[in-house]
Amino acid sequence: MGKIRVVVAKLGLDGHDRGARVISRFLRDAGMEVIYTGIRQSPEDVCRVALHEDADLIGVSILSGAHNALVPRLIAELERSALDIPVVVGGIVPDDDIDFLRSKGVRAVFTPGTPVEEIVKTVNAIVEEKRAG
Amino acid sequence: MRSLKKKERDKLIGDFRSGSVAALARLLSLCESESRSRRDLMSSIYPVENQPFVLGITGPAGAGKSSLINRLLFVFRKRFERIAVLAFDPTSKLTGGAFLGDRVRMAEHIKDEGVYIRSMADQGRAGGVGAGIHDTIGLLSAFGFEMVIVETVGTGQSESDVRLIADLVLVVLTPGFGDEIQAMKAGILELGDLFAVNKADQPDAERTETEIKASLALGRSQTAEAPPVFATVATQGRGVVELAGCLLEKYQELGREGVIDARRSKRVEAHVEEMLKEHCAMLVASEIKAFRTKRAKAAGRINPYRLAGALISKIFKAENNAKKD
Repeated sequence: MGKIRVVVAKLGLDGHDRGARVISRFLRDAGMEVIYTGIRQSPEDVCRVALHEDADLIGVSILSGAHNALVPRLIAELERSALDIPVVVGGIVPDDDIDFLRSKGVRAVFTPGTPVEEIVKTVNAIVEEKRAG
Repeated sequence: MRSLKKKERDKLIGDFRSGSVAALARLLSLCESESRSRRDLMSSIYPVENQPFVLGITGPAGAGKSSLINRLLFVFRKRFERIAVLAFDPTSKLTGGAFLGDRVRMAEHIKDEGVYIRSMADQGRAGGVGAGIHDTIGLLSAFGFEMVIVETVGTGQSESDVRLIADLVLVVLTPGFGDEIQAMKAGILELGDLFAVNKADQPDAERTETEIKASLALGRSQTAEAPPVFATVATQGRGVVELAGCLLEKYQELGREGVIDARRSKRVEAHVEEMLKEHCAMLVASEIKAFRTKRAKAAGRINPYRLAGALISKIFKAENNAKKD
């Protein structure tokens, strides 16, 4: 099986993508192929990118506070398209919202300060589990 | 590591044939990996009747290739129902990872059902495109795309593979690309059927255009036409309609002259050659490994010519027996 392909996505109107770029770089340095969507993507757009790119995982970077609205829409869109692609979220997410996102199917939430090694490890584990399917 | 079972393979090919984009995407990933199951899988898609217009786009990093493709897509979509873009970026030789960011510039097309964009890593191969490129294009052809645009990595002087896989090559350069000497030296000028000097709103654009034209005309007989050079500003769309029109005209012209057919049969030739080399390299590697463990200490008693000859006979014998089974 080939390299792990991760789509790093910026959902919604939030245009600050420094975090997304930094995380892309670390995932790349961990030997993954990282496809970046660019800023201001809708859940439908991200779903289509993941479809085109045969993504193993989608990493959503979000700082705007709209995660509770947008991330479940992305997951619903993936289901509608019959795409079994795990979603993780990174960014400013209050503790109270983490359980909500997880209940909607988000596999992991990384808040500021999460060590890079942990993110890489988690991504690897989720993809391996899925590929072993 | 998980290899595909026959049942899964059949389902994948079935879904692909009935037009599933997910199946296409999966197969494109698979044809990058090296395995025996890949060969069986890919073999089942040939022969492919549909022959799309394969346009190769190359040029230095930062020349604006992706942005230009973004604009060209709007024009080409008026002519073609379905277009695929393969956007190559380099794989890190240190980590094996890759950051694929070309589609950011083409994000406007994400809602267009007629456009399929795929980011590809070159897997550290020189030549501007990745391994498995022939099968990649084969898959896109079999899927029914009428046009395939291949954007190479932006390295500058070594994208010669694009010549071999494309029907037509567009080279994108920028003002200040280099003086005339540089233009003559750079192999890039031999690759192009057409040239674009992008970012033509920058100073020095005209001079660059003139220099490229001069370099291209050099040594050509009076009757031989030099490749056309266009000034474009991709971010504003300037010159793009003219460039697209000329690309289509040139494609038709070369088609009438039989050049496109000749290039396509060269492509098949290269594909077969690559497959043969790959296969032989695999056999050689396993023989060398066996040799290393068995006779590594007998250097003084070995005639390398005889040994190589014996190994070649052994390989062919083993292959023949494998075929009979």
